[in-house]
Amino acid sequence: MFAAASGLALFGVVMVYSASSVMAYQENGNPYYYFIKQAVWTVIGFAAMIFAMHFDYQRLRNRKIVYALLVMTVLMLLAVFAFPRINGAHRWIRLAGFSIQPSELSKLALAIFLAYFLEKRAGEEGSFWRTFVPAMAVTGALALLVVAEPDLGTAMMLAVVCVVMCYTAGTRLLHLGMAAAPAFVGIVMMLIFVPWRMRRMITFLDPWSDPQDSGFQVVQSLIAVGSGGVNGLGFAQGRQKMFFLPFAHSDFIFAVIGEELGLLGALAILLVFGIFLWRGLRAALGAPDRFGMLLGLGLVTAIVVQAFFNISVVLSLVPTKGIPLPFISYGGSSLVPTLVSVGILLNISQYAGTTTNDGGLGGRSSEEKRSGGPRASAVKLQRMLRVPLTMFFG
Amino acid sequence: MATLRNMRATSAALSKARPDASRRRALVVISLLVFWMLVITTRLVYLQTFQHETLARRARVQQQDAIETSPVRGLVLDRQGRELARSVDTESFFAVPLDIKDEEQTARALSPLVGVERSELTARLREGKEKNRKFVWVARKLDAEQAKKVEALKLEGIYSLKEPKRFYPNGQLASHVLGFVGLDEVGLGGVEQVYNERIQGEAGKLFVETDAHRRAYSSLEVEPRPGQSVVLTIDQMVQYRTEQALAAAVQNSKAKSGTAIVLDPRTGEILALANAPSFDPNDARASAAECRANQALQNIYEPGSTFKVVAYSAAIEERLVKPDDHIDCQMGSINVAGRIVHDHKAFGNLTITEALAKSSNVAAIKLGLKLGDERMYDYIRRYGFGARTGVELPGETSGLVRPVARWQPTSMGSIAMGQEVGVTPLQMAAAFGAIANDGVRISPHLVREIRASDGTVTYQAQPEQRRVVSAETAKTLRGMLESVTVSGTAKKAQVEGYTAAGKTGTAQKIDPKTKTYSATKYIGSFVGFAPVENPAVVIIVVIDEPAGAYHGGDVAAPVFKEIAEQILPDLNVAPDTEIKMENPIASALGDAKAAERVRAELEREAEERAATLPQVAIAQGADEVVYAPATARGVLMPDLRGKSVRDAARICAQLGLQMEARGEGRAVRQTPAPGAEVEAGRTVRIEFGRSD
Repeated sequence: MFAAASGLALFGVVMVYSASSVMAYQENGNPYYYFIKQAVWTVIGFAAMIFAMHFDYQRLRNRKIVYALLVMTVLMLLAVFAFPRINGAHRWIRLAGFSIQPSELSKLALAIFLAYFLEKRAGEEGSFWRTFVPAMAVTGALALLVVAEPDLGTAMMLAVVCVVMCYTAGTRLLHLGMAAAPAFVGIVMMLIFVPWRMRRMITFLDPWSDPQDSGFQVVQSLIAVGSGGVNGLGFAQGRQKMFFLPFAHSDFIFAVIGEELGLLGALAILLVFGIFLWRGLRAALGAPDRFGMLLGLGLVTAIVVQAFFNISVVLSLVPTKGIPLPFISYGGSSLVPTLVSVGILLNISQYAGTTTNDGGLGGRSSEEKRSGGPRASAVKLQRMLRVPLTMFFG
Repeated sequence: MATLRNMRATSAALSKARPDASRRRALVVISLLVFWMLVITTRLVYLQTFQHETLARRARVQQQDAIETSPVRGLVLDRQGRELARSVDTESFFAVPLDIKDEEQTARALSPLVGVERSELTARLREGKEKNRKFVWVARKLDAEQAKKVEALKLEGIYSLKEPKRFYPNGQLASHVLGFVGLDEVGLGGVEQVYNERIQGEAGKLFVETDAHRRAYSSLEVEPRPGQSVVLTIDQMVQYRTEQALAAAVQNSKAKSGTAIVLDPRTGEILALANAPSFDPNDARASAAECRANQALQNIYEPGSTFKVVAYSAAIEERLVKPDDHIDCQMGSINVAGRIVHDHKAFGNLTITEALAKSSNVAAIKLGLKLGDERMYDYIRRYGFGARTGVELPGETSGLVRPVARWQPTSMGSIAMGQEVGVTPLQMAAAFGAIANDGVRISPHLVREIRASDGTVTYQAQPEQRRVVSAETAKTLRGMLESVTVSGTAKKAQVEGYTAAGKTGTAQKIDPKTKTYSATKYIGSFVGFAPVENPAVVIIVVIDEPAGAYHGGDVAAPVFKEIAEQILPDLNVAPDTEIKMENPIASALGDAKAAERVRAELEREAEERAATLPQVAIAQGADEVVYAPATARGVLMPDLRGKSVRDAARICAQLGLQMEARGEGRAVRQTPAPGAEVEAGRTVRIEFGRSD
């Protein structure tokens, strides 16, 4: 997992250089502008990751820390509105030359909170009022703040993290469905009342209908990916980044990968995300406690779902949403929290196979000893996870 | 037992099932994610393999601009290698509409310089912008002066491009042979049209990689391949003399039009082909369509008496008569199947030769009747009538010769004397070429060879040859035709210093309204060759609708004489008869000093005559023609004062002079002075300056 994550992050630095050098030269006269910034962020990110790796995740399971994090996130999300809009949205807090995106942090904070909260509600996960409503309320509050920025993509990611964690923890599907219905209505309303969202939706359905205007990003993205072919045009040989493809170094970096490295390169990246998924899930499921498991699961799915969603946008499988490709896209405020998440996951994975004597949490090992059926399924899952990994890592 | 186990399982599920349910649910999440991954993989494979071609093409379309670069059209040269058509560089201007901020203002600045209405120009630019065009023509093929003015405006979004423009240095000369080109440099007439593919060359392509803002960052050029050069059989000098003589004749006789062709019967090469009125191919669009029509091969006329050679030669070839045989011209009338045909004059008993010389209709009809329809038709076709000659010019007609099956019993009464048939001047010239060339007809042609730009010959004329009559018959006929000029209807065709032979023809035109012969519209023609024994040229002159005198012997024969007299010495044909004119040198023989003076005078005159030929002419702009008269040793220095460096250099290059330029601007001084004789290869000094 460490290899997969750091590999992706380093690859990201290189790809950011390839995708941004022309633009950087145009804007700043320095083709390495974005490259250097991304490299600095990567170093910071790695430092944070190593710190998180050595930071016992169980110390996060602390009421004060969890709520402090949550409150801090909310405050930062509110603070965002005090800063001027960039690209038409209040997403950034600019401090001393650095800009941070609280919405990226909120994913981490939400995952920690939910893991803590759901673990506390162990045994009554199915409860509507005791578990479901508070979890939804916190998620909803964060998501609403993020939507207000506006950053629908990240809000959706928050929802995904919440749904995945609640579902895995044991929330009844009926409750989730109840929450999904108004959310769905909300999304539809938003599509109808925010004109550019509607346009995006229409262009998603038929991007070629208006390749000059609203379908521009999607069309340019498809052209980039398609013209790459099987082998690609070669690293740094991409042409779409010559201002055809918008956000080539951030949200649409996967299109540059597809163009320059071809089908083989794109599939390799997808595969590495797959490996990351397997490794992350193995760490989560091998966690000695529920908190670790849920936290790990939340963090891994947050990253992988975001990655898949970003790639799907690039390939025009889903409507355009501005979210970056984890590890690879330019931007420290995305990279650093992602690497911190990886650090936490790595820390959780160190506890794999151990047991905590933390009673009442339904530790896995005691469960395994007692019943055959469930244990078998757990072992099966473990094997499933292990076999392909040994294949890849020998 | 089973119940117990069940109970245990249930209770376990109730109390401790959460983690296992979590694992199961995690498995569901994982499955969904794996499924998502598969969808992405499928999509990637689809886009990058099946859709690759389509999308890559779209990428090229937006990333690359392919600009066609025009190739240089090949030269058209006369038989001596003198340039009749060449391409010169001109500047064209185009707009990139998106780069223009204010169309109105741009149009206002440009409009007076490019000669396009301001409103139209504005509309054109606006439309280009609306339709998101990358390229809109503003002005095509401006000369250096205009181009400089446009460039001086430094307009945003207006760019220039070098475009070759076809240029005919001799103006009208040989226009019907050369043809002309359209604005897109595609041949639209003459040799330019027929050999357009070869002459035009292959367009080059300039691929420019551009970013989304259409800024170029790299380019790849495929050089255009220059066109091939066509070498004509036309001799510029012969062509010039022919045109001059014809134009003068058409003007003097106030005729509607006229045609003259000079053909070398020994090779089938057309030395000159002229029509009057003519046009300037440099500005073909300004001329009337009838001026551009090539009468020499499109005008079907009833040949009249010139056609009688068919009946005469056939009868001699078939040994039905001999030149000295007597024939009764029946006092000028003959009954053909109930139709009476008259002679213009009542002849009695004449020899065959006399009958031809005096152009008796009765005699010709009698010979035709002796031959019979079948044989007559056969000879008509053998001479090439009723079929295209295959000359390398567009729009040739095959004439009108009815198949023998559709002849009426009365037909011979018309056909033998050149009615009821339609021929083109070129067909007639080729037919007389057969008689001149000992009975072998060589297809008339006017392209000698075509050369690629590197000089390799890619096409060489291989004219078809066909024996029409025996050499003996041809020789006999030549002798008979000579008597036409000596004592017959064409005494005005007698050539100074050379024996000449030929036949006059005068035909009434058919009035298109009444479908009967017109009493006022005639076509007078003369076709002949010289010298008689070994003909070097066949010349046909056709004058359409002359006012006043209309007989071929009066309107066409003198033109033949004028052309032949001028071109035969130029073609190095040795005179074969005495100059009947009083010889000034001979008459002054007694006085050596006087003789010397006369000789010098004659030489000067000859030189002056030669000097009327436009040896070279250069366009400055499109229509100004500079004449640099040729002299015995070289050319007379043209007046270059006032010319731009570029134009002066071009003129000098064409004259074969080395130019030494000093200064810039317009030529103010030149050595040698205008009118001085300069030899090719000589260095001329030209000083340029600005007259502010």
